[in-house]
Amino acid sequence: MQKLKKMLKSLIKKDSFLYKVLRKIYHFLSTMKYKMTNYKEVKEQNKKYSKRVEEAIEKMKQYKEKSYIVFYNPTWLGVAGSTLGLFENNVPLEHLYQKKEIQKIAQAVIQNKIQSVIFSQICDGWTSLIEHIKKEDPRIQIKVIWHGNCYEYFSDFTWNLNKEVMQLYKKEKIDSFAFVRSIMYEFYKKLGFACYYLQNNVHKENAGKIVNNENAKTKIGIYNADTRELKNIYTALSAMKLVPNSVADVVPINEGAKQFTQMLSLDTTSINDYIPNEELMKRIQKNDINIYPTFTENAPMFPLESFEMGVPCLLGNNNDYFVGTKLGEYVILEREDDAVYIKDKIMNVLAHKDEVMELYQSWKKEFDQKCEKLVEEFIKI
Amino acid sequence: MEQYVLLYGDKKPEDNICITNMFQNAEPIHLGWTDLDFNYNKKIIEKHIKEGTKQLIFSGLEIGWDKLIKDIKEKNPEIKIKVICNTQDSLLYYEYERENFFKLLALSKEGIIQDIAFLRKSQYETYQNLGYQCSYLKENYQLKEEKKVTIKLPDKKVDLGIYPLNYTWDKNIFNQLCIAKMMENCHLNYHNLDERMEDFLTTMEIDSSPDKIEKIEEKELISKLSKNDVVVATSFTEYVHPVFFISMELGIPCLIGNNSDFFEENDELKKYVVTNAEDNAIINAKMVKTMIENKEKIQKLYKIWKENYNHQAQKTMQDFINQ
Repeated sequence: MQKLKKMLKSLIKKDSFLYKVLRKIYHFLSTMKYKMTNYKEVKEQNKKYSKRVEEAIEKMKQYKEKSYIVFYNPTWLGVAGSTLGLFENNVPLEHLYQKKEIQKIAQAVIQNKIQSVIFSQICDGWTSLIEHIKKEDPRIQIKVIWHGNCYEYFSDFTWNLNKEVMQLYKKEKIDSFAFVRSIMYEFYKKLGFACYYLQNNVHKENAGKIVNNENAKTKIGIYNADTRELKNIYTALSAMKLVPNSVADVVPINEGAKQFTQMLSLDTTSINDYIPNEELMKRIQKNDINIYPTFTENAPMFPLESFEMGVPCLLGNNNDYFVGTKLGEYVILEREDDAVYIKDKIMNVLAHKDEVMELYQSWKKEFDQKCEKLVEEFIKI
Repeated sequence: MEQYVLLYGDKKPEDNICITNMFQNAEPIHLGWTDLDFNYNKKIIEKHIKEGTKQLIFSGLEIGWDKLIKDIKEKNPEIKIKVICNTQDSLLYYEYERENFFKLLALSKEGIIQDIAFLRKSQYETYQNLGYQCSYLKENYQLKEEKKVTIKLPDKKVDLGIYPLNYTWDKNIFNQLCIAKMMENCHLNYHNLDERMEDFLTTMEIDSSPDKIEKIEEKELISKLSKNDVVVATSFTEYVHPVFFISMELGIPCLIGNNSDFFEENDELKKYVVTNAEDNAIINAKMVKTMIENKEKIQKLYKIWKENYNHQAQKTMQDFINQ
């Protein structure tokens, strides 16, 4: 099958009508095959999504006549964390594959007289929901928070979704977008889109109580970094090795990274699987420092979570946090692929840990106010 | 200097433009694990050994080469075998890169490979600390003949060139293309590696012309890059920078990411041609504008810097060969 697919791809032009028709048929048949061979799983999944729809309808009743609600997927942890950190009227909702469920949600929006619906990123079926809501009542404002940056257009899924939402905007089904990074905001503004700028925020006022600074070794953490190349885990591990008397806490750790730590003779306290966020937050408090040297981001949650837990975190210069501040000079990495440089930055932060945490506290006060203002402007009708 | 031959993979031209420009005696060999590849490569190497070659320098450790190296060393224990490492820690995410890198380290530990040259100082320091016999090799490229710089008329649009040599994540392609949108009066010439690039530029209404590099080699890159007033090559991570060198040698300023060891921290040229923010099109568009406004100054600074760099690179190469 793969050979046939490859051969057809080489024979037929990708922008031709025939290619598009064949692709549609192929996708249709693949979906059918998947549904038939995974009948039980698909049934269970649909049951779960339907339950989520019912819960969402119930939840919307709490926000009757409110100026806005925000739909977000609670299983997309980064997006969920960002949404919960910014807004109050949040409604968890997952993919929508049934027409009648899309109609039900649209009806609930109208019945509850909600003036503005915010979509925090777009799940399957949500573009149809947008069209339904607008068709039922064009006065309802539709806003979309786009959490990705242009790097992500490398992915077929993200690029096609982006084109779809851009089309919906042009057809006046979407009223405005919000971006969590200034570069994306400026870019789409230049394209003529109505845009807002937001910043992700984290509130964990009660955390940081069990900070442990009595490690015999320098404990350095890196988390959720094994899934994509841009997370740059191997450079991070090399940097940790260069820190004298260090131990790495890597969660989760995959086979490749494990082999690499063995080759480096780097001590680790790593575990193989993902752990729930609450558990992770407790775990990171035992570290001396965390690092997050990714190559590209928008507004990552983890560095803020780490600081909120009382542990400084180094991060790449690929987001809008700490820019132009003394704190930024300490914790922003300008050479993400240079292990010696990252090691030097780790050592410097460890030597000035108290000062770094004080700088964070004062930065955070201003940042909270800024975030609130940005949200107010965005939700305004 | 001991007689050597540099052996490089015939299917990875982007890795070898700078390396083959530096080492005079270079020959391509097959990438592959089949008996056919093995025998083909062995024949070439045996010919060199017969002609008096005392050391073999491999550009990278590619698939099948570990077996080849072991076989050669077993039959010719007096031959020195060295490898120039063609990967970065950041690329070890890929099983292919990781497995070959681990094999390289294992061969070094066994004493089959005498020396590993790293092209990034950071890697060199890391593995030297770990006890491996290694050297630091400064990559270089020198244009053999002087090319004239064309100064374009100021009323014309700025021709911005973006020529990634691979359609891979590390090339940071879409953030680079965004730079053209954030500039005024700009026309983008780009290496069209995938239809997504054209689709993106059309969707985002960016004035551009696709270009195709048929064969990644020095001559073709020179002809493509020459069309532009300024070039951008802000990949996330690198170990070789052929586009930067060729462009700068042609007198066309080239913006690169902060992923080389070319400059000292306070180098004036670095302030113009190195961006710290590889994924930020606003910052990079401003840097490109400054580069265009200071084109002649950049060229002067480059000539001074390059003369010194040529000496340093030559020295690291000699040290590596004489090791």
